[in-house]
Amino acid sequence: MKPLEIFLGVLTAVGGFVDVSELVFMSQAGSRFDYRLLWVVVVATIGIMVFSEMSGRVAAMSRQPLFNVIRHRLGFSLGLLTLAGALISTLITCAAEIGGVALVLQLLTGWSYTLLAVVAAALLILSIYLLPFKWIERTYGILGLFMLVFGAALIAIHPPWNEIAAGLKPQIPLEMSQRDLLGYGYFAVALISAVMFPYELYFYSSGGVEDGWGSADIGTNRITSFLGMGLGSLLAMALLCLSAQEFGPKGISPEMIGTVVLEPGLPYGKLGILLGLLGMLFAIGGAAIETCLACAYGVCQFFGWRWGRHKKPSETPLFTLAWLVVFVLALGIVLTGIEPTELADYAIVSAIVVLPLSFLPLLLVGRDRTFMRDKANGVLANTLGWAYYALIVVAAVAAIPLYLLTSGGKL
Amino acid sequence: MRAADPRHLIRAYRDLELLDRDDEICGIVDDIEMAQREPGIWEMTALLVGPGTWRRRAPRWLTSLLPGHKTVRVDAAEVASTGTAVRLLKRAEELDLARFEHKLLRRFGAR
Repeated sequence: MKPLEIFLGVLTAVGGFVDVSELVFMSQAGSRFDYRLLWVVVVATIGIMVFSEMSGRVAAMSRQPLFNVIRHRLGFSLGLLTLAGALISTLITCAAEIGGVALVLQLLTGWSYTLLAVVAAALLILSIYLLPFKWIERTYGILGLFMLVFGAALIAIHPPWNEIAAGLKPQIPLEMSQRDLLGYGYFAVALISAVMFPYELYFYSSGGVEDGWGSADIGTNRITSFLGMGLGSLLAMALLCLSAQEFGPKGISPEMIGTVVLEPGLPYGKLGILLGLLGMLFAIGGAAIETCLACAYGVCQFFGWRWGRHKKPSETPLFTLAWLVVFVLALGIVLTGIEPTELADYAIVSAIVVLPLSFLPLLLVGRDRTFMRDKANGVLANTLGWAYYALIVVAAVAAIPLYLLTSGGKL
Repeated sequence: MRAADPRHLIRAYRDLELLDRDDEICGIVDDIEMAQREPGIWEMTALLVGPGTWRRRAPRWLTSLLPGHKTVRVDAAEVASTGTAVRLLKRAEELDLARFEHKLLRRFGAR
């Protein structure tokens, strides 16, 4: 294990943890239900730790990225349906991220949103084209650490730590009205989906294969998954707590990115807002790249085309074409005028529906000693894996009815 | 490769990535051809690669959305090994695999 690699990997995971959906849903959940959904974030974070560690271990031991595993384990038809679902969900997410970057740029410059969406897409395409794979992750992940200003802001406003601690306890607030209880349920499902987005695993496992992980990298994978995701999740929880403390009591529902960025502005003024905007810019920009590449990885791995950013774009023509097409389609969605926060709503619901099909093959191959040898899932990984699988199946079944009953959490 | 149960052969090859002699990805094993050489013993005789095989494996409404209908047959003798991917003894071009991708590679000067 190389300490510098691990350190950078963890920083990258922390800086890249938050994306536009998390920004929106964490802030709205905090504003509407104060700290009472914090426990859901903790539960979902342990889930993404378990599955990202498993996907990295599978990539290291079998050299199979996730969509190879999906097709091999689910077969052609079910695999193709999973691919289609994953592409739709990840494409919508990519559009939400591009729209988010454009909104942040608009807040920084005051220029036209449409023009900035085109500029954002062009800059992101250039980033993928010019930067080596490792530096794409690191540049956006490490610059995304400006988001730490949200954590610092939470400490600076001296929140009620006892109430925050009480929010970590699993609870169903039965004293709420039926309408609020449905909204609580919808936000619980949305937070699980936002933290456990399947594109994160498509990207992470493909990255492991790109970096040539082997059995010697199991430790690095474990530390990056656990520490990186864990610390990143603290940042997401800070968003929820800030919103509970600052927006909830005033009846403000932070549906716009511009509202969320006021959170660090309260203790730190203009500097806080600027740092928050920079953090958002790189965190959301990094997520846009991850979602775009995740789509291209998925298609190429499913159909057996050459893929990877470790090669020149001209050496992987169909992969290059795939991620370019994804960016163009995502930009097209943004230019229709749908708000990024509305896109984030659709992305969250579609992602949770795809989660069970994406995670099942991982669980099957993770415990298969033929491929995994002595690094197959142990009792803990298997137990946690199947328990989380049951949870995401329940969340997937509940997602669409809850979305419809609550009008996307707005009722 | 031989097996008493044809499902073992399917599991060992089907839907795995194909790597050519130069370790380049050149497709996915979309299906396999098997023969019963002697009673109770099945043998993989060829790998089938390409959209032509998808119609046999998926509902028509699903495959009609996908382009192409070609199938490439790779004789079992060209297979070096199988595990988490199937490795071949020849280069992809020699086996007529990944033809469209190679055409693009030549077009962009990467070959």
